Amino acid sequence: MTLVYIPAPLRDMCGGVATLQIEAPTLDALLRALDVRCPGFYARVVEGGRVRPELAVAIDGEAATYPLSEPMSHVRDVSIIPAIGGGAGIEDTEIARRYPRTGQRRDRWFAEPPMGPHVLGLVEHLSREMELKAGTRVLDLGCGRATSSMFLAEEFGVETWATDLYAPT
Amino acid sequence: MTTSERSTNYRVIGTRPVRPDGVEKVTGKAQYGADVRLPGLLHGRILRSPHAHARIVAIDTSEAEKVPGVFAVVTHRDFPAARDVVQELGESSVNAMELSDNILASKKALYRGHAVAAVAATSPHIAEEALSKIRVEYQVLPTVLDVRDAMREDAPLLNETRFTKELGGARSEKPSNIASHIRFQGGNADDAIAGADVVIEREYRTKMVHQGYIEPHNATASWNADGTVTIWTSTQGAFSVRGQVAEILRHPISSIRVIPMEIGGGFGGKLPIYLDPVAALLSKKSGRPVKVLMSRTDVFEGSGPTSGTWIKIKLGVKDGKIAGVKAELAYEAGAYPGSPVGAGSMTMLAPYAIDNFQVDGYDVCLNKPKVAAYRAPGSPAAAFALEQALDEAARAIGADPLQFRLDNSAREGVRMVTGAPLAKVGHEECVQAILDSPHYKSPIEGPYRGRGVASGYWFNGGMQSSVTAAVNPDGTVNLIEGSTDIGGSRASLSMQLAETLGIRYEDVHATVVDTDSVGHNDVTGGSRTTFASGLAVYEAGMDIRRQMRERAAREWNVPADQVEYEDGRITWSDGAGNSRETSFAEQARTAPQKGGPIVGKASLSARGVGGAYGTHLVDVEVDPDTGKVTILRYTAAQDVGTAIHPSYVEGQIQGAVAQGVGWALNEEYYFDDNGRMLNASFLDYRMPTTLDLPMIDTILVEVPNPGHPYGVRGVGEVPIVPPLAAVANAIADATGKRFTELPISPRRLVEELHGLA
Repeated sequence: MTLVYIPAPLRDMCGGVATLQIEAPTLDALLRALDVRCPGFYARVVEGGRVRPELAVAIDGEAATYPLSEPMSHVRDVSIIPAIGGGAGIEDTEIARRYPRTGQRRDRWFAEPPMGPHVLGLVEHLSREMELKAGTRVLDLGCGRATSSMFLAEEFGVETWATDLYAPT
Repeated sequence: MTTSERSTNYRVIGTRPVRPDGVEKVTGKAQYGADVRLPGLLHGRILRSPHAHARIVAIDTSEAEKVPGVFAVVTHRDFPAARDVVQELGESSVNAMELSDNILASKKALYRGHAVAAVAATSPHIAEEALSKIRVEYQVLPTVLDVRDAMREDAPLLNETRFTKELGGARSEKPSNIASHIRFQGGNADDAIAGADVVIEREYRTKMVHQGYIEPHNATASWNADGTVTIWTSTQGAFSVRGQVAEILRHPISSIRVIPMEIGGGFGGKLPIYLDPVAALLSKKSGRPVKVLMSRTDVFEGSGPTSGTWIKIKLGVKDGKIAGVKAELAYEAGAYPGSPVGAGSMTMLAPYAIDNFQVDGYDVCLNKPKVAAYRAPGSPAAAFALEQALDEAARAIGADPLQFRLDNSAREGVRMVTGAPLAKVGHEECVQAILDSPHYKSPIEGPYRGRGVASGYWFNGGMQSSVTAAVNPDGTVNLIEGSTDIGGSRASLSMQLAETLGIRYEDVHATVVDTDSVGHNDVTGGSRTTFASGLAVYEAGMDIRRQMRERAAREWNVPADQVEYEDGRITWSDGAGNSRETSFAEQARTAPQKGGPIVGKASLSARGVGGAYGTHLVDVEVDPDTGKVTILRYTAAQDVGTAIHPSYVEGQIQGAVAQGVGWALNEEYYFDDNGRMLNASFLDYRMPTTLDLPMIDTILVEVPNPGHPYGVRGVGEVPIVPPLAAVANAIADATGKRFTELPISPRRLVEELHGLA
């Protein structure tokens, strides 16, 4: 059984408690078990298959770069802490700086494009080269989830026609 | 002086051999980055922003390019688009976009001295003339230079799309210069303070200061026809330079070779890069090797000092124990996020066992250079605040300041504010060592004389190291390693290898090699090298021992696990009178005939880091007429784990105390209202010299780190943590006035003592 010390900013997710007892074979399993008790916890700590760079995990008192596969069976104590060198606010900085309209998008549909380069950033980049205004008609050919069309319609009030062979499931 | 719990059986560890690099350094023979000379070498110069905050409307380099002798001009447009990814640099991390923008500004100049363009020419003078012909159109913006001002809602914003990030993932409604907020909480600080006998509440301020390394930043790059690039530079981590350059130029890591030159100091300031990608691009464009050097003013204005800070503390004491602490820490990050406020928040309470606490940290951007690591980054300012509050509390309850610290000390198993429990540590031992010292037992008498104490903590680091140890036929060993030798690591690593192999220190020759010649090594930072690279050296030594035992076992036709290796002797005995013996020297000599070269290797990510404490004691005399503070006597006790080479350990402590005294009494970035640093030279930026300091006495307290075979703890950073507070406490003792703002300069002292403020 491992005693997990919940960092103060995440205690709201865990009903206010500072510590939880969890039994799990690996760090990943431990964080997923925590996510069951504290919904959303896993995504706050893990990103892209690793502990977020602004965080560190201390296992039995030692903060280091641990893989998610780190065995936990003999671990007594785990704390999630800010990285020693941390403090860098990194989330969304590129998108937000270069593409302010895109950066303001908070809903998941827009904020987490499903693949490739940030589609809205590209659309916003292109939109600066065009005179888009209310009533302009836009054809979005090969629209996928039509994210670009919705973005253009909401941001510029244009009328969009979108089509694709692909149908979202 | 040394007090020790360590093994006394060592033959090499704990001795004081002559340092391998000393003579070459003092005779000028050692090769530094500025000494690099290559055929056809061009000289690069950087154009820097004269404004602390300005939009860059346009840059016209056409006239500069026409100057005869100019081979290349670069601006941010020459960089490929950087990615929004974070690189770990040991005690700091850096976002590639922000790093790229700091190296050559794109849309905005965010501090005076921010680089905007660079030129390569056949002479430095031509390069400077060309810089004067670059036309930059700036739209000057309002500046913000104070950390508290920068936190205000109506402050000029450095980045209109930056929001305050919480560790919990939330972000602020409005854009802000506060890049992030962190909180550590345990028990109930408010209730504990409400029920306390004595409550101390104060605000403290420290100023932005520079590490002050003697050697300015430099980089020489040669872009080759096959797309490879070679970089000679002064750095704390050749591999991290390689990684950062690869990221910024979007170039394969294997095509970049970084050759680390001798380093003239770093203290954390040579973890980030400033010149290397610029030199590389200038070389690519010009087809010639290019060398770029910073001037001292460039170093002050355009490299990475450490944060100015504002800290508020409310501390309650009940029955002689620290009942609760509430603290707010706001640290200047400079132009981009990334101050050491997290480390400051996590180390502040580390010497003590405190159940009730709330610590809030704010990482704040403003129009100053982006800060870099500086020896125990974040911890000295935090200790400056807490250790003064403790001093006041001890006085209020009539307790001896050291006994008060001892009564409240952290020890093994006590949880830090992060929740992580401490391993075996030596804070109590340090306080006790000062209590027992001749210095503390001597009286301090006379008007305007006073005595102060303070403790401090640093985590120390582990991270990745790789070494190769090649055994030669004459019984010597070449130790091939990749950790910049900034504080004596060639000696401390050679000594650990000699100890492991049971050979003489003089028979090990250590060389720090380039990035093509050894496996990955993280930076020399976080006081990690003697610990982590030492662990790799130990493993490589054990690898050699294993190979020699196996060869002997084969020759003797006995099981290898029955063959012993001790003090360079390889023996087998069956306990019935039959025995065999060979030696390291014999195996080395006969290796060519008995299976070929013996090479030990190790690559590892070090675990078992031992954090460390120091407790300092200082006597001062204040001249009430001139405001001059004289350091009369200084004693520093530190838990050093095992002092591999005690002279280097003492040197680390003495050097850090000197820097801490300067930080306390004189050093500061002094800005005018427009964000121009008015004292950007060593004439006006006053660091202590040998004339300003007495001999710093050291007490090496050896509490071996159980996570290292020789008990090594990092030693280089801890000793800069206590001096700021120790000096301030001594001045309070001498004058009866509490100085909560650094530096405690002659002007500030005179104003305060004579009511002129």
